[in-house]
Amino acid sequence: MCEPLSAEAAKKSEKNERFSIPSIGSNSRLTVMAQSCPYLPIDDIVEPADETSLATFIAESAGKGNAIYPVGGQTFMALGAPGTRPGYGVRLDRLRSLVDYPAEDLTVTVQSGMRICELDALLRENNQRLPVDIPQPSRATVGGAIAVNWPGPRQVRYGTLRDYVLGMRVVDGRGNRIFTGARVVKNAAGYNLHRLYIGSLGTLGVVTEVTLMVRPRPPVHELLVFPIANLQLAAQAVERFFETPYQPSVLAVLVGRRWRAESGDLPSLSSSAPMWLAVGFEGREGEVRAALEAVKRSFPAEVLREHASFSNEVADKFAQTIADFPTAYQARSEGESDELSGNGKVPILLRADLLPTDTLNYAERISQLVPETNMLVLVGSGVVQAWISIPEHALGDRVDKEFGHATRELSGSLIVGYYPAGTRLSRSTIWGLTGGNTSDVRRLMAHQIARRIKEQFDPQNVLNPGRYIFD
Amino acid sequence: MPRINDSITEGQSTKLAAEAIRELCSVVGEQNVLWHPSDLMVYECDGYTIAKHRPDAVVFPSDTQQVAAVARICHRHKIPMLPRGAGTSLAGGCVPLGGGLVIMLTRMTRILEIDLRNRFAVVEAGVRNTQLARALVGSGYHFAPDPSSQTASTIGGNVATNAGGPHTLKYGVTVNHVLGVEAVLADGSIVQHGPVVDPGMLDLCGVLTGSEGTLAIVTKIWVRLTPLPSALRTLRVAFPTVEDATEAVSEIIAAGLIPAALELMDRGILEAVEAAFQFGFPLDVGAVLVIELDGEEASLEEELQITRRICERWNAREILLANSPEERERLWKCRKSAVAAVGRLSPSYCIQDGVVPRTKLPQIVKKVQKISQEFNIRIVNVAHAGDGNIHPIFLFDEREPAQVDRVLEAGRQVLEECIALGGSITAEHGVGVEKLHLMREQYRPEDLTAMRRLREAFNPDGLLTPGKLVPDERSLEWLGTYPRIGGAP
Ligand SMILES: Cc1cc2nc3c(=O)[nH]c(=O)nc-3n(C[C@H](O)[C@H](O)[C@H](O)COP(=O)(O)OP(=O)(O)OC[C@H]3O[C@@H](n4cnc5c(N)ncnc54)[C@H](O)[C@@H]3O)c2cc1C
Repeated sequence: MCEPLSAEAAKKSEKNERFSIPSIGSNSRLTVMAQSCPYLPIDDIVEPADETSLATFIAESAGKGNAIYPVGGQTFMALGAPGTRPGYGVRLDRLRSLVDYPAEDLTVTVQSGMRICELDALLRENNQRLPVDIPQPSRATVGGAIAVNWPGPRQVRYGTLRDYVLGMRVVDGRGNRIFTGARVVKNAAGYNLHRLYIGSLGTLGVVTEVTLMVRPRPPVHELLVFPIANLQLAAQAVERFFETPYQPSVLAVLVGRRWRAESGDLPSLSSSAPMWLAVGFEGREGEVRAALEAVKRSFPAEVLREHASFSNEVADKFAQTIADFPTAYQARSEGESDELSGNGKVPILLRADLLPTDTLNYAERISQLVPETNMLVLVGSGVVQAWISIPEHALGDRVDKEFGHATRELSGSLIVGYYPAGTRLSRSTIWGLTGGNTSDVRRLMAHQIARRIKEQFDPQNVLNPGRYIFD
Repeated sequence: MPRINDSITEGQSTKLAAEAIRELCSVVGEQNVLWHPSDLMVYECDGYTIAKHRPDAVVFPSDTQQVAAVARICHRHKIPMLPRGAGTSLAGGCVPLGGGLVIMLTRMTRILEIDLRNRFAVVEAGVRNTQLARALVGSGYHFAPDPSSQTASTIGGNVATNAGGPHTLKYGVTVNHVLGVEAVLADGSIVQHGPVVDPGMLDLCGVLTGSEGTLAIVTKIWVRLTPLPSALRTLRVAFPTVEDATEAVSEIIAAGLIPAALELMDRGILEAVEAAFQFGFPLDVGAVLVIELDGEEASLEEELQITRRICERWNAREILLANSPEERERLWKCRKSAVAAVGRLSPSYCIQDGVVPRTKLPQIVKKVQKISQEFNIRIVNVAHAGDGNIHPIFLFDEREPAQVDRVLEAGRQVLEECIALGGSITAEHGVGVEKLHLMREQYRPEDLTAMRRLREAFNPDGLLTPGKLVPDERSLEWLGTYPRIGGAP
C-alpha cells in the first residue's frame, strides 16, 4: 500500500509554503517550506521543480557556504552523524515521474523522488519487480533507498541495489549535472561512476534519475517460520540445508521478543520461542515444492517440530516485515518510551557485516554482551542487525570497544544505524572508523582515496556535511 | 638476449633511463625485464591489431610487493605504465599510448583460497578464467562470468574490462561477482576494498571494475562463487530470418523467463563455424539461437515448453535439444569459437561490440545489413541477443589500407546507431583506443569531466595508463597520428 505523498509534509506545506525567503530569493522553481528535521541543522526544506533548478540551487549554496541535506522519505534520518553546518533540506517530491519503462527490456527509468511503493505498483502492471529489500516502501524514495542501500532478508539471493542500478543522473556538490552509466543492461563505456552514489548517503551528489534493471515476478513464494530454542539449532539447520542445491530467497534468524510485536497479525510468532528461523523460496511451483521438501529432509527434527507457513502475498508481507526491522522501531515508538529506552538507556541499532559463516557466532556474542537483544541475523549474506539499549554515558565506548572489537576480530565492519536525536555519538563510532588496526595501511589508503573522491565531487563540502565518513 | 649493461648504457634500445631499468631489474630480476626492441614487438598491440604502439620496456612481477615496487620506480622516474593481462582485449586496451612500461600480471597465477561455504575464491590477477573454473570442477560452484576468451583471458583483465559473456543475461557481468580487490596505485601504495561489505566506505571495488587499468593495477581479487544450476536445457533453434529470431528473444523475456543464455548466430557466422567444426548447423536458415535454460529440474520442463511454443510462433524451422552434457559442451564450444572460426573466411577480421535495448535488436540488425551493403564489406553476426549486445564481425584484408578505412568507418556508423537507439558503444569489450573518440559522442563534456575527476582521485599524476578510457589531450594527440581510428577530421 502506498501512503499519499508524505502526509505530514503535505499538511505542513499547506500551512507554511512560501515562495520567497531572503537567502534563497524569489524563485518559483524552488518551493520552500518551513520544516525542521531531527539530526539536521535546517529550518526549511526546498523542493526544486526540476533538475536544472536543483543544480542552480546547489551551485549557489556552494558559493554561499550553505549546506544541503537531501532528504527522501525520511525513513533513515538516524543513519549517519548529525549534520554539521546550517543549510537547507532538499526534497525531490516534485521529481517523481516515470521517465521510461520498456518492460521487455527489463529496465525502468524513474525520477528519484518516486516512492518505492509507486515504483512497485508500476512494475506490477507488467508482472515485474525490483527484487531488493527496501524498508518502509510506502515512504522511502528511490533516491533515498540508493543513498542508504540497506541490506535485507532477500539479499542472500538477489543482492542489493548495487546489482540493479544501470545508470543515473546526478547533481554533484559543484552543481554539475552528471549522467553516468546507460539505459541498457550491459555497458562498458567509461567508469561505473554510479556505483559511488549507492550507499554514500548523498555526500557525493543528489541523485535525480535512475535506470534500474528489473526482473519478472516469480509466480510462487513460500515462506516457512520455525520457532527455535537457540542459535546453535539455527546453525545446524543452515549447515545441513547448505548441502542441498536449493537457493533460498529469504534466510534469516529473528531473535528476540520484539519480533512478536512486529509481526502483528501473523500467527506464527505467537509461540513463546526466543527466536525463529525464516526460510523462503520463490520461483515456479515445481522448484519451490522441491526446495520445501529439501528443507524437511535436511533440517534437524527439533527444528521441524513446529512451523508456520505463508504463501504468496502473505509471504511477501512477512518478508517485508523482516526488511522493515531497522526502521520499525522508529516508526512505532517515536516519542513514546518502551522496553528499549528509559532508565537513562538509549536504544541504538547496530549493523555488522561479516562472512556468512561468522554471523551466528557473532549473534551469540552480542546476546552475551547484551541479554534480551532483538536481532535480525542474515545468515546467508553475512549481516547482523541488532537493537540494543545502553546507558548513554557508556554508549560510544561500548560500541567502539566491545562490539567493535568483536566485529574486527572477525574482519567485519560495524556501524550504528539508529540512535535517538540528541544522543552523543561520534561520527567515527557511527561509521566504525575508530579503533581498528591503525597499522592497516590498506584501509587507510582506501579512506584517503575516498576523501580525494569527495574533494573532486564536492570540494566545498556542501552535501550532507558531517553525516557520512567525511569530515 | 642483450646484457643489461651493454644495451642500456649505450642508450640505444630504450627511451627509459638506464637507472630506471637497473632499478626494475633489481626488483624483479634481470630475466623478467624486456627492453630490447625485438622483444617488445609482441607488446605493441592486443586482439585489436589495427592499432599499435610499442612500449619502452616490459616487466613481469611475480607478486603484489613487486608490482608496488615497480610502480614506485615509475613514479619516481615519471615513467608511464600500463597493466596487461593476457592481451585478449579487442579494443586496444593494452596499447600503451604513452609508451613507457607495460606491467605484465601473467606471472601472478596463484589461486590463494577457495571458500565454498562463504562462496568466494581469492585469486591473483593473472589467474586465467578457466584456470579457476578447472579448480572448481566437482565443487558445485563456478565463477559466473565466462567470456568467450576465457581459456586465455585473466581474471584481472576480466575485472579491468568488466567482462561479460554468454551467461550475463541471468548472472550479470563481472562487477556483480567481485567482492573485493587488492590494487596498487600509481605511486606504489597498496589499497584493499572488501571482501566483507563496509558501509563506511565508498564502493571502490565497483569503480575499479571496468576501469581498464586507468585507476589502479589490480593484483588480487575476491570473486563470488555461484552455485551451479542443478539442471540445464540447451536448445538450438533455427529461424528463417534474423528478425524472427530477435522477435522470439523479446517474447521469451516478455513471458517472464530469464534464460541463462540467449545467443544468436546469423547465417554468415554459421558458415564459418560449419567450415571449422562440421557441427551440422543448417546453412539455409537466417539465424540460429542457442537458448540455455537452467534452474531446478522441477521447473525446467515448463519453461522449455513455453520457449518451444514461442519459437514455433516465430516460425522456428528446427528445434533441437542437447541430449547429453557432451552435446551441450560441443554446442557451446562452437558458439565460443565462432569468432576464431571466422579466420577461415577472410585474411583479417575485426569484431565490434555494441549494445542496444533488447527490443531494438531488429532495428540494429537491419542497420548492420544496410551498412554492410553500403560499404561493400562482408559482415557476419554473433550476438548476446538476450542482452541486446551485438558483435558484428567485419571481414577484410588488413593489407589493403582502403579496406581498413572502410571497416573503421562502417564500425563507427554501427556504434553511432547503437547510441541513437539508446544503447552504448561497448557492452563488454571496453573503450581501449578503438572507441576513445566515440566516448565524446556517447557522453556530454560534463560527464567526461566527472570521469576525469574520478581518475584524478586515484591517479593524480596520470602516469597510470595515460590517455585511455576517457579521452584527454594525450589521447587526442595520439589519435591524430592515427587518423583511421577517428582522430583526424
Ligand atoms: C576470441 C575472443 C573472444 C572474446 N569474448 C569476450 C566475451 O565474450 N566477453 C567479453 O567481455 N570479452 C571478450 N573478449 C575480450 C577480452 O577477452 C576481455 O576483455 C578480457 O576480459 C580481457 O582479459 P585479458 O586478461 O586478456 O586482459 P588484457 O587484454 O590484457 O587487458 C585488457 C584491459 O585491462 C587492463 N588490465 C589487464 N589486467 C589488469 C590488471 N590486473 N589491473 C588493471 N588493469 C588491467 C589492460 O590495461 C587493458 O586496458 C574476447 C576476446 C577474444 C580475443
